[in-house]
Amino acid sequence: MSRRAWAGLLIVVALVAAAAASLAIGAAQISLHTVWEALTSYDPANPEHIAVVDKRIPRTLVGIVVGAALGLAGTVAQGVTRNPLADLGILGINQGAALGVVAGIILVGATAPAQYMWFGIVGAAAATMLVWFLASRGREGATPVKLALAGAAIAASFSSVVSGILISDNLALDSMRFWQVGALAGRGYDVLLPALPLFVLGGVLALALGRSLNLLALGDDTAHGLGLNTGRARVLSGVVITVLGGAATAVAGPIAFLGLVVPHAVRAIVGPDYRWILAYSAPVAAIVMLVSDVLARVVARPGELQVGIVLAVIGAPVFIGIIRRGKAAAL
Amino acid sequence: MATSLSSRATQRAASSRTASSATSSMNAASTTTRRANTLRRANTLRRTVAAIAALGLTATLAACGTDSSKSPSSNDTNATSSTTPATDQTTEPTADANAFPVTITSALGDAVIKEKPERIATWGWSAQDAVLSLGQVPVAIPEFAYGGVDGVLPWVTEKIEELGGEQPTLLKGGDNGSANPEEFVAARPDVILAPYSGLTQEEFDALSKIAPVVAYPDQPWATSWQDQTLLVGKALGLEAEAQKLVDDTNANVEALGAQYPELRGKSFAYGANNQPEILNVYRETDPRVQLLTQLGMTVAPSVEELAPADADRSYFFGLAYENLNKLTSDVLVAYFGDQAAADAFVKDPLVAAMPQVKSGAFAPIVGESFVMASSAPTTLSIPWMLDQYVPQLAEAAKNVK
Repeated sequence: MSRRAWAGLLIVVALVAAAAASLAIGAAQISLHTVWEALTSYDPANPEHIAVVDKRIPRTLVGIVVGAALGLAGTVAQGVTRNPLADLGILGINQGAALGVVAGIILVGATAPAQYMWFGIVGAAAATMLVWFLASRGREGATPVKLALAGAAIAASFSSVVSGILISDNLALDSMRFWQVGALAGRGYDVLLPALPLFVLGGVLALALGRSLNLLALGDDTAHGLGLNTGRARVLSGVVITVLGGAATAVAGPIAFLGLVVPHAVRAIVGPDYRWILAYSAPVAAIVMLVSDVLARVVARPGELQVGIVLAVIGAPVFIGIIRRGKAAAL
Repeated sequence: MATSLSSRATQRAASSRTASSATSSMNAASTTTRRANTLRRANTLRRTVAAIAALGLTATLAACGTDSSKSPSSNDTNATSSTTPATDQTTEPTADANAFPVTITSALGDAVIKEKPERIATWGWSAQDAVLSLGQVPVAIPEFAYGGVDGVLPWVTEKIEELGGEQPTLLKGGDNGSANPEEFVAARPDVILAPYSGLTQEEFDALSKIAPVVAYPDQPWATSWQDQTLLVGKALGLEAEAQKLVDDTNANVEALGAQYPELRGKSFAYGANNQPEILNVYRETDPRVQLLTQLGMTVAPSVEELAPADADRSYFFGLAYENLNKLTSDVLVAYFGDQAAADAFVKDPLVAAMPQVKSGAFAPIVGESFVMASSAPTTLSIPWMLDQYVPQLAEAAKNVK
């Protein structure tokens, strides 16, 4: 079997194991026997059964979907900007979503993730479109450098608007605070199901972008010469990043490093072909997300941490390691 | 990634220097926010830091230092035990003139008050209540966005009207994390009273250049309302009056508790849901918990059994919903900013499965001002809310199975 096939097999096994761990391990220490009982003969009066079935199962599903979406969106963001350090923040997604969430909290008094999620998605989309519009000005169109600059500018301005609002509105800040860190706790089917069509649409589109990203990696002129409509490829990539990144961020809050680190790690295994990187980034990001969330539940017993904190702690050193190995320069 | 916003938000929530310096360089001297529903992020963050350490990355954060504001003060000359007042009366007469100069030692340093203060600034929670109860109107008090009307708590407004004093300046930052020395300078105080606050050592040092600062005697946010009142009384040269206020209020609380025998001996757990799937459980050092014990109830043993070892110095700890079934007690008390939050809480299947909630032995404290009053009991807020509070507790206590 080839290296890619072995890696694929390993990923499948790891994903199943991570999902199982996410069901079996939590803030409460519930015996494996009870977990199995909860899954096979559910007793709605038993708090441990409720924890497994009504909390851990939806939380695991949200983790898989959000993780996979961030892995895909991060890969596309790096491919389309040809920027190895690109993550969702570079296109203003996080700040756009933050502004949307704040608007939702202030305008309609949204308090639960299921309520402000849509505002986050709209905000993320607005930010990305604005970045795209700014970067597309001028003759060369939306080049990676202009995208990065426009993204930084929009991110900074959105972020100051959000700060301004929060300084003057303490109640909005209370609701925002926990969204800001990034967590899976409290996100159930009420969040997952409405957003699922977006994740499916974005996922399918992303997986179809592999060839375009491969050509874009050769530079615009070459890509154009090989028959790629670079403008269209960029717009589609932007749509994918907005839909997947925006939805994931709106659901779980800004999750750092996942979309940045996972594509690098996968690239090191499967090589520079984006079709493979995309296909493997989704499940690998889901695995990292689940494992981090399991860690988040056990390191602070009897409470728990937000997964965003754990990912930042794990992600930073991994990312530094990747940069030091020089892999990042190869885009 | 961490935007400037997220670090600001975190910082605002932080009440320990550790947490704020770990998350933000914007403002090295962050203080505490002590808002009723943002409560205790300090400790969440402190525990977060601890948990990060558990992930093996202590070294990176160790540079952020420990919280010097938490260093226990050795000679705590003034704080009396909250349950046994009337022991530290000096032989001196309590006439104002003879009470000065007075030195009040706190965990952060000494306050030397040379003569009776006329212009009083307060900081943190509750100090303004004690000053007003003693018949003086502060020149500056912290703004209370949570529970306040235009930033002023309702019982404070009532008392200022009654005393007929000038409206105090509202100090910003009570909600935002740190004390701004410039605002204190502008208020030209003779003394700064912060016996129940999260002042850091830096803030204490900065404010001490403006006026003597009375900080907490031992730990931030862990001073009983009785001790707060006595400290303020000492700083104002009104020790005997403060003692009388404490005695009278104690008597009122106990008398009302006695009117509801169903409260007697019932165990309780006091929580707040300020974060998805987490119930913050308050421990015995918190004044809101102490008020219930004064009414004749007892803290459920499960509270200390569940408290994590690293929470030794914290007045609360976070409990994941998955562990709610271990929080056994006769009565469950929890506060909410509004009814929607209370409804959402009991709708969660793990909350609904708690025996206290099932049987109706659950006392939700709803409404910002009411929450503030019961969370920060004082000689002013206790009379303001007790008649409403105790019957609600008794109602829940009746349903104990």
